[in-house]
Amino acid sequence: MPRDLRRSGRYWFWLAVATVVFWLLVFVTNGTITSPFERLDTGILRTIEGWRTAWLTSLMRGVHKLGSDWTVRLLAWPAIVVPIVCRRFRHTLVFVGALILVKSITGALAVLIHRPRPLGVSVIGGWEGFSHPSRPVADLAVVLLGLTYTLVPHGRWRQSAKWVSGILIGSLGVSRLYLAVDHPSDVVIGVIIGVAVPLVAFRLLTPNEAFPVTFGRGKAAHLDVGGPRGDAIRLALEDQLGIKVRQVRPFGLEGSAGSTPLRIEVDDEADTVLFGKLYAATHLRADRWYKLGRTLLYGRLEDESTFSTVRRLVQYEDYLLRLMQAASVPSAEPYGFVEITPEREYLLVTEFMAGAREIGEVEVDDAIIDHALSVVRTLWDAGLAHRDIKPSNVLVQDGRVILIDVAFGEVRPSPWRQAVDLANMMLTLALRTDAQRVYARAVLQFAPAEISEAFASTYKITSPSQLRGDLREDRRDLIPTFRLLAPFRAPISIQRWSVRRIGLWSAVVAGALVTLVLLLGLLNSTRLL
Amino acid sequence: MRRRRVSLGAAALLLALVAAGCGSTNQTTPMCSLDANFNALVLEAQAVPKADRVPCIRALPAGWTVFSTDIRRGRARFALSSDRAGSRALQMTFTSGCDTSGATEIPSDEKGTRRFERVEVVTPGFKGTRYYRFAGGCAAYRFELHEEGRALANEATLALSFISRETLDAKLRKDSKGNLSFER
Repeated sequence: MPRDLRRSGRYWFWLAVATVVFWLLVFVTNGTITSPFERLDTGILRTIEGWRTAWLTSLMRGVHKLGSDWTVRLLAWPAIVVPIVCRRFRHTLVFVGALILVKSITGALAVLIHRPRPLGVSVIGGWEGFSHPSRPVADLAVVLLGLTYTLVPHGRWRQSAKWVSGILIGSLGVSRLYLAVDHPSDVVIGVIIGVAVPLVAFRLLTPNEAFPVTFGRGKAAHLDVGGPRGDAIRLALEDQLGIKVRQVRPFGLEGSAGSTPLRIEVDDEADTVLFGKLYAATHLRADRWYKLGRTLLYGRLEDESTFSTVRRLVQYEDYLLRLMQAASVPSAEPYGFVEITPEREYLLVTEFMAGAREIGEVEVDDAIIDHALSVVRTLWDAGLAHRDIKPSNVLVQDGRVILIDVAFGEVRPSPWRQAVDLANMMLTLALRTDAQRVYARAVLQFAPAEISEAFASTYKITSPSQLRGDLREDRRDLIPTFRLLAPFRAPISIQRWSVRRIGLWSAVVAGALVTLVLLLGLLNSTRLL
Repeated sequence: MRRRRVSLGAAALLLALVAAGCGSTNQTTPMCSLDANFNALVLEAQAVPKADRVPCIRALPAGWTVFSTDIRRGRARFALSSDRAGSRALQMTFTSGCDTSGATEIPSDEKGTRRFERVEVVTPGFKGTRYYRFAGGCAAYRFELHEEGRALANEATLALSFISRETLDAKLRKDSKGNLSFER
């Protein structure tokens, strides 16, 4: 899955390269080669000047406002704010980066080339500074491209947005030539810089397959598995695991935030179905941020190292799955993983739990409660913690409880974390039944002291967000009820301060302040404030 | 690894461009010499197209630097800073006309111009405006000098002068072999 500029991207990239070569020639020849262009520019402007009429001048002055600072501001802010609201921070970063780059390039070139405004014609519009390249045209182009790539979903709508952008940029260019504030070559180079920089940046840094523009309830972590990625997945499964695939499609997206879950239909006589989890660099970054957040919130109880690569993240989950199997923890059987793009995208393959349903969707009886609690006991005995026990990760298949999504699991966890696993499982079960019943079954497998320790360690914030949300909606106050049922135990503080945590907090606060100051400075210098 | 190198290259290019832009004041400053920053003089002349001359910097006295230059349609402005008189101690604004009401006319030291002075504060520091009015334009020198450099007003104005549009036009025609000129 190489990054692809696509045909138009390559075209604009090479235009930009040709422009750089031309500028180098201008510097090397001390401007000698520009004479024919000067004559051509002046000739074109004089011809256009001959077409001036009162109504056309009035119209062109109106169109010329497209290049004003206010227009650019009005168009730029939605391209910055909307992706942030939709949690597509990468789009905002790429847009702001492209905008700053375009402003820096055009500003610096204007000074280096210091070309005056057109001579020999009557200039009838407003201008500012040197004329080459046309900064208003480049600015409008970069914000329109930014809007297109940050707000408009890939496909027909984006194609239409590009046409509209082209018409607006062209109109501004024409108006500036009509008013004779720019030379034709200034406008052309302004368009090349204003289009090439954001286009190449968005295509390389936010490829649609990895960072789609969506406004629905879909999570940013979910990748598009159609098109080239779908082909790459099929090829990788066949080449690396010998699995011939009939169909790959997203599956159970609503329950997953850290990867893209897939249903893989194998092309065999048994109509085998497999489960896949697609991981990309975005998931790795999300995992890092998640762990940093947990360390900041809870301190050393949650201290752990982050994964350095996507490969290591997938390797770890594959290892944990195998460990769970070896420890007889009911979980999906792993079939290994395949490499889609080296160091960037990997697909973990496991058995598909046919007929399994989330515990929240089934009738929970005592047998299911007992089995679910025995799964926690097995985890404890094997020195493992799942750390993400919530309704969507506890499946029921033929009356058996199965744990899925073991990516956050830990070997030799802290006793606190193991206690929280028990509490989260009991809360998950109580959501479908009641606290008294779950407690009564739990004391058959756990000592009352262990249960009281579990709930002394548990707060809403220690539960996964899905479980937390379900507890909020449930009006029975399940955590206090369990605490009342179990023998009294003073709450265990989850806050643990260490030098590392204080250092992390200091670094985060200082980093945020520095980023804010830099950002404000940059936005001010780009006239967005 | 390759991606990192490309990113570093792009960052270096960006820094180089920003640095070029930041350190560019000298190239955009209109100097009173046809061989230095001629295009800045042309641009200044284009800003006020009816003026028969344009203000420029003859030479900067020791301790003075160009703080900023801003040339746009209808107005050109540059600011000079001094190590003693302070940042932006002298700001020159070139427009098609000035309001000199309340200012006192005194004999001009620049041929073909009328000079007006308006003094606001003489201690501490010095605040005042000097105007040069001429055919089609006006140059206003705004002084805001700190106490330490209050005596530097004259030194600063010695740095400034004018160059005629006629001279600029002749150079334009010569350089472009008659193709380019201010006139249509």
